[in-house]
Amino acid sequence: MRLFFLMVLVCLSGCSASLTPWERDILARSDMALDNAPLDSAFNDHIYFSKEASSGGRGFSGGGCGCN
Amino acid sequence: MKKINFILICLSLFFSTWSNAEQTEINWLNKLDLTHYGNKVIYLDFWASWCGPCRKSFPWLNQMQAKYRGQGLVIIGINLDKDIGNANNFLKDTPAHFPIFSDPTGELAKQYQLVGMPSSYLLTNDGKVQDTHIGFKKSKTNEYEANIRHRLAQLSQDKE
Amino acid sequence: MQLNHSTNKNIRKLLKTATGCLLGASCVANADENSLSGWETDIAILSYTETDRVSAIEPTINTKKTFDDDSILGIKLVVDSLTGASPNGATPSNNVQTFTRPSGKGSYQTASGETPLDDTFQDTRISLSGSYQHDINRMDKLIWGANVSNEFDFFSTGGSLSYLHDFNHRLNTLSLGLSMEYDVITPQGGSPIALAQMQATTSTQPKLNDTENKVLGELVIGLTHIINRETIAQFNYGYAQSSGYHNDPYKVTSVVDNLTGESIVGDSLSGTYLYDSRPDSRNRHSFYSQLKHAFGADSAEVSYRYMFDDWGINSHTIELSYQKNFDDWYIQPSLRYYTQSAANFYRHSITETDAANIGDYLSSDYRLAEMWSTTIGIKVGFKTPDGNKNSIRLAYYYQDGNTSPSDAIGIQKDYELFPTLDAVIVQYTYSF
Repeated sequence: MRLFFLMVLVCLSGCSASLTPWERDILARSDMALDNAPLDSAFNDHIYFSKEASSGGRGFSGGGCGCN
Repeated sequence: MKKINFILICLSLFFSTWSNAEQTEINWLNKLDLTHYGNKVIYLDFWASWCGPCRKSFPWLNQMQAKYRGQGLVIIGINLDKDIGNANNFLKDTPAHFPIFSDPTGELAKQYQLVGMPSSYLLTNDGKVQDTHIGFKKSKTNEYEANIRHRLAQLSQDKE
Repeated sequence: MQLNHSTNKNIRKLLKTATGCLLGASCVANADENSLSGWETDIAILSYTETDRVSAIEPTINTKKTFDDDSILGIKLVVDSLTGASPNGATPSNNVQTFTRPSGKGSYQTASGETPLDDTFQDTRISLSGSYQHDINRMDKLIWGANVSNEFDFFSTGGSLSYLHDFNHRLNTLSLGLSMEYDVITPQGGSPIALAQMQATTSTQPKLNDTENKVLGELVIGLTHIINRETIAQFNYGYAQSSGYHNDPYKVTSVVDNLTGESIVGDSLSGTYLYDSRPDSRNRHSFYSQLKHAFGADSAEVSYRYMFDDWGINSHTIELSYQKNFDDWYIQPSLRYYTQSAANFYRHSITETDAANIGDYLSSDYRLAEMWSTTIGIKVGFKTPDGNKNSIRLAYYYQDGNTSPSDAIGIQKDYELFPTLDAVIVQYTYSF
């Protein structure tokens, strides 16, 4: 739990990003999508759900090129 | 027989390079001078190779340029790639039948206060921005085209 | 074995499986896309093989179409076919143990010293899910999802709705998701009475119901934050509540002698085995965080999830991966470490004395035990001459728990009281 909040703090400390809309080239790369291999994630989630007591977690929104 | 083959090979090479040359010919502008075009409606389109909707917009932009060139429409693509190589690769697959200007540091984008990719600005010949839209959706092309026609109509009225 | 009775139905899986990669601006803008308004399809096949236990083959087809208004429709079909044996919860004995199959019409035996495994199940599950994503305006999206799945003893259906809101010049995205699921469980032979003894095939086994059901609801709140040009982070909080039948109708707990640790003689079997009993509700909270950073042309990702519930289980999951990108291919090693504490009603077995005083809940399902697991994986992606994407992924999964707990009695000290597991995963995906 503490590890979670630590990660939150580390990330938000870089909070004052002023990234312009034309500087999203790297974020637009397919490997930079938060879930860039959804089929793999789905398979893994199914396996872990069947073998362990926890499930889910991963999110699915935001990032990317920010277009349109 | 051999002679005919040789000629055929030469001809096919010639035509293939000739057509390739047409395809790979990208009109990169050395500088952007909006006064250079005279009495026109200028459509500035800010794009980048990594922008998906930009890829969708190019065929439409080409179509608009061809359709309204005679009425005074000039489309200029402002490329925001930091690496021109990426832009050139994009243009090989998705050609532009309008000139491109490179703005790798985003100076022009800042000047036009760009909010999202892609963005387009319709300018009258006095350099004033008349219309702008953020993003490109195929379902909205009628709306985009209506703006172009409106500004071109104004242009022709002003001429009279 | 059933990989599990419930197919994974929280929102995140529902949504991302159906729309492929397209659950955010990122994929629409993907410069690698070769099909801009037709159907984009992935076919994949997964092979999962445990040593001496369960095997599964899972072919999948996932397709999506983007319309002119940038809305996306996704459809996914998964078939998974399971064979093999799974631990039934009973502990090893010095004697041969006989167990009755769920149908009541047959039995199976476990040799002396072996972990009892039930090999009754050869099951096929089919699952169909769909999703539809559309823009409300430039900054807001909705994603609708629906799914249905069926296997011989389990039927599940559900729906979900998520709202995504970009703000702060698209440096942030807020997501709110709600999903509901309804499960119908029809255990083979009917649902056994919780904590009742397993009877021999020649005796009557009183059963409760032919059909049981369960309802699940889940709420997820997420925040995506772009830190800089190369870095993105995400935080999710999820709350899930389920109500209804949670027992595993095929699992039992061994009752053993207080001193020898040997299975005591039952009513009609040579051992005493009590059927699984779990609470009829479960509330879970999860906190998930993920960080992704580009290192030049490569990218790396780290994520951490903390989960706790009202069954006393808490878990930590850490995942790391690094993708090394080349011009036409990439390689991606990955690592996952997972650890969980036991449910407060989990026992590897119970003594005769304790059995007189169990309380309402008891389970020996290894999935509710204190355990940890490690997954090491490697994935390679490449393009075939037709220009389409392929990838092959290999992973090794190892799970271990308290094989020699301090409360092991007598003969139990000679045996492993947690069924260690290892499995190999192979997956091939083709996209066109």
